Amino acid sequence: MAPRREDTQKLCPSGRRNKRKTGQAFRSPTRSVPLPNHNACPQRSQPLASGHPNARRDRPQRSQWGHQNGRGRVGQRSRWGHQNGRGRFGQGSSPCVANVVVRLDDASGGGMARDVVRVDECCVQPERAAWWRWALVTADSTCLASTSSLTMRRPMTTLYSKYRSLPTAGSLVQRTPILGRREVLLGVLAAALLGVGCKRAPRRYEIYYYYIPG
Amino acid sequence: MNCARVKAAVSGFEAEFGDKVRIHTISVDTPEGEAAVKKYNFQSHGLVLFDPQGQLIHKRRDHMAKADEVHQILVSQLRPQHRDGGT
Repeated sequence: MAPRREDTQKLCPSGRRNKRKTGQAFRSPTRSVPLPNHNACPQRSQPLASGHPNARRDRPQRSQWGHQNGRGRVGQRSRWGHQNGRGRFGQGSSPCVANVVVRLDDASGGGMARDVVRVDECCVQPERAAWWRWALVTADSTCLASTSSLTMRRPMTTLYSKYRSLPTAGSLVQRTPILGRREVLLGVLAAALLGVGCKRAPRRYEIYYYYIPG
Repeated sequence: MNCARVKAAVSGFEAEFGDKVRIHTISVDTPEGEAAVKKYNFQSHGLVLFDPQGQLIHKRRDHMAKADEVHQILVSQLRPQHRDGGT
């Protein structure tokens, strides 16, 4: 069963949006400047080892792509050779980030697990829809899968399939059951409120006698 | 003296009517008592009775407060329930 995208929210700082529709291939890039040969996510084809630097959990705010979550390292040059928020080719280019919720098949057979991962999307010259790169990144900045190069023009669905095909991809992210903690807490709170209402002492006649002491 | 008698009589209603009636005897020396004197326009002390919906159904100021009168009201109000509970 293919992972299903539940929600996608574009958070492109430049306000620009990708004109490509989901599932369609990118248009051919019309590059005039050669791009550096950036390595893809090193974990795109194999699970992360526990000692892998990308598996570290003490850097939750920074992805391995040099971006802080969704914002980028403003003013610094990223690994991709462009300044975040401005892009390699100047104005109009920006790293974009989409937050998605991906359903994963639960390998233990206990049903579906819902894991929130981040999709880092680096776009250069988004008006041309060229040189996009995608990566599925967990909340602790673990890269689960990514496109292999800057020129890779894979639609998201392909990336999801790749993610799903990782043998232990599900174990890389912290699993949260469909009935997550938030839902449980809300349920408990609602039950408590209902219980208070049900168990409230019955109203009765009340006499207040204000007396003079002594 | 009358004040003390009313207080004692009223305090006995809770035992008589059980959990259907709750009695609060509050000294007018307390802040709550002082506020009630002003609120209900008592001269020195008084008695108020609220129904289960919180509506003020009986108020007597100063020495007009009679325990018997309050008892009659409670009996009339609680008669059906009182009988059901007693038999």
